[in-house]
Amino acid sequence: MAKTILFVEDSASVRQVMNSTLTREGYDVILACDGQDALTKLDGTKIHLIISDVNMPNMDGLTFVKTAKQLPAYKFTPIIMLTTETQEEKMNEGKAAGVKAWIVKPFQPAQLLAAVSQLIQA
Amino acid sequence: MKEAIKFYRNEYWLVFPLLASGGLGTIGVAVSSRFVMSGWVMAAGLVIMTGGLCYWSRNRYRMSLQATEQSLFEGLQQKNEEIIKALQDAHQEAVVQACAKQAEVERKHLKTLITDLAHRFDVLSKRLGEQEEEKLEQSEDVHSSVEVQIADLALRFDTLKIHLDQQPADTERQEQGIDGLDSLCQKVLPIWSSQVEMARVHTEESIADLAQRFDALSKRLDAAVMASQNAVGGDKDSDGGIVELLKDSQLELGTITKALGASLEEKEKLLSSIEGLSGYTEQLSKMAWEVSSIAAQTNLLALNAAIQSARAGDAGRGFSVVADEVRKLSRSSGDVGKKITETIESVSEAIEDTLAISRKFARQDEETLGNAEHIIASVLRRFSRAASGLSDSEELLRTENNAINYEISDVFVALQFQDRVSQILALVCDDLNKLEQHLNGLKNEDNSERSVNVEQWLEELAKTYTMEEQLTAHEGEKTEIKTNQTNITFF
Repeated sequence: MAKTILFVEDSASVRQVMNSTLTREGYDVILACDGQDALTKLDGTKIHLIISDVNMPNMDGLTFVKTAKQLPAYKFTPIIMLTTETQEEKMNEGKAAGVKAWIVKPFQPAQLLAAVSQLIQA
Repeated sequence: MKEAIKFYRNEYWLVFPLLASGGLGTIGVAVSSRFVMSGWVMAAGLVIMTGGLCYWSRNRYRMSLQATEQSLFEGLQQKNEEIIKALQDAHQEAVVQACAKQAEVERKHLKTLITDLAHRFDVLSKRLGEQEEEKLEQSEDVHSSVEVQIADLALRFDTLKIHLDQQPADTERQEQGIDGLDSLCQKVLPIWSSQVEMARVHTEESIADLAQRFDALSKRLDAAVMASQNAVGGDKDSDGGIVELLKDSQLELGTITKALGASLEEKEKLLSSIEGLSGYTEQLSKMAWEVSSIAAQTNLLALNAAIQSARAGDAGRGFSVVADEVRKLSRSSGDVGKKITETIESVSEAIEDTLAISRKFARQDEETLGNAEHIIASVLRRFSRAASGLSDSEELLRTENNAINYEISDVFVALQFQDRVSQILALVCDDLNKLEQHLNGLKNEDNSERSVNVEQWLEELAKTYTMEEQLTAHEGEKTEIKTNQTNITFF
């Protein structure tokens, strides 16, 4: 059975690129355009991994991660942050929120897929 | 002048008229003793004169000090305005320089990435050009639409470049101190902001569309390779491809040729049997000849018996009848023997004919089988060559597909520049909006309170950056765009 990944990103082009990259590897992908939109997708659906941007309108990625981690169904779902953000403070904030990996854009699809595979199987 | 103000404010001037009135009183006492006048009258006159002098001098002091104070106030106010204006100019210059620098960096960034993208498209286009014509025809519409998108993107990039180029020009005009700079900024800043936002949105949409088309192209190539692979080598789930079919056909045709060979062997056995029959006919002929021979001897014996019965006279008459019957039987036997011989000859001839025809057919069958084996081997060889060619072609197609997928993967990396550009432009827009709001605020405030902290502004701008390149550009250093390294940190 295909694993499901929730991808949260405000940039339509990056959403498209990620959707292509993940679906080609056989993953089911759920797309959301910001943190608020992503929270509406967390309706009990089994999600094996969450990948989120940091800087987004309406609700930023770190606030979304903190909120998602409070939901019992998604408390142990591994989370990857995919962002242009390189500030140490933000990374530490993400680590404290329970983020498993921090990937700085632009990403190589193969390396991203390796990280996704590693975290989903863990 | 400061001392004068201090003197005036501290009421020291009151000492002067008291000293003057004392001196004049002394002079008046001397004069009154000389000209015999009433001392009190003189003193009163002198006091009045002193009071008047005192009042006059005080007024003169006040007027002169007020004039000095006025001129000092005006001078200070003018100096203050000059300082405020200089600060304001410095602030605007710094903000405009930062904007222009950021815009220039963005322009170079965009140019580099577009050039890289164009190069990748060129490589991809060349690879596509090397594919089979059928594949080209299939992907032609996608390829052309991608080219249209790229042309559109280039057009939009030019528009953006023009917008970005306009910023330094406008900046130069502002630096020259054109009148109405504030109102110009208030009007032009929203326009810049909306133009940058429009360019950002257009780029976003185009890149998303481009990514979608690349994905579709990649999927179609995968499907073509899969179909080719299934046709040539077969699939795990299907019955097999052309190579498998060829092996099966070779096996089945081998079985048929073996069956034909077995049939020929059976015919050979049949021929041997018929040839065996031919041997039996000779024996039969010999036996028929023996019958004829016995019939001839029996006839001769019957003739001798008739002669002997004639010699016996009447006693031998009955015996002569028997001898006649025996002779008739021997003739009949002789006739039957001849007929048997003739029949055997006919049968023998028929067998010979059959043998001849069978041998002829056997040779023909043998030749046919030989030809069939030769033709089958030839056809199988041709099929094998074709299958080998198809297999090579499929292998080449798969290799090319892998290369194209690798290129597309790189294109996906390059396409992510849009997100970075979008964030940089969004920050520029935000700062332009902030400047516009600040100018609007200054317009509504008292002139004497107009000021801006340039350093604080730049610090706040620097805090909004998310990328190392932005900070580098902000500090006025040349930026290097990192495009091909994925930075992954596991916690």
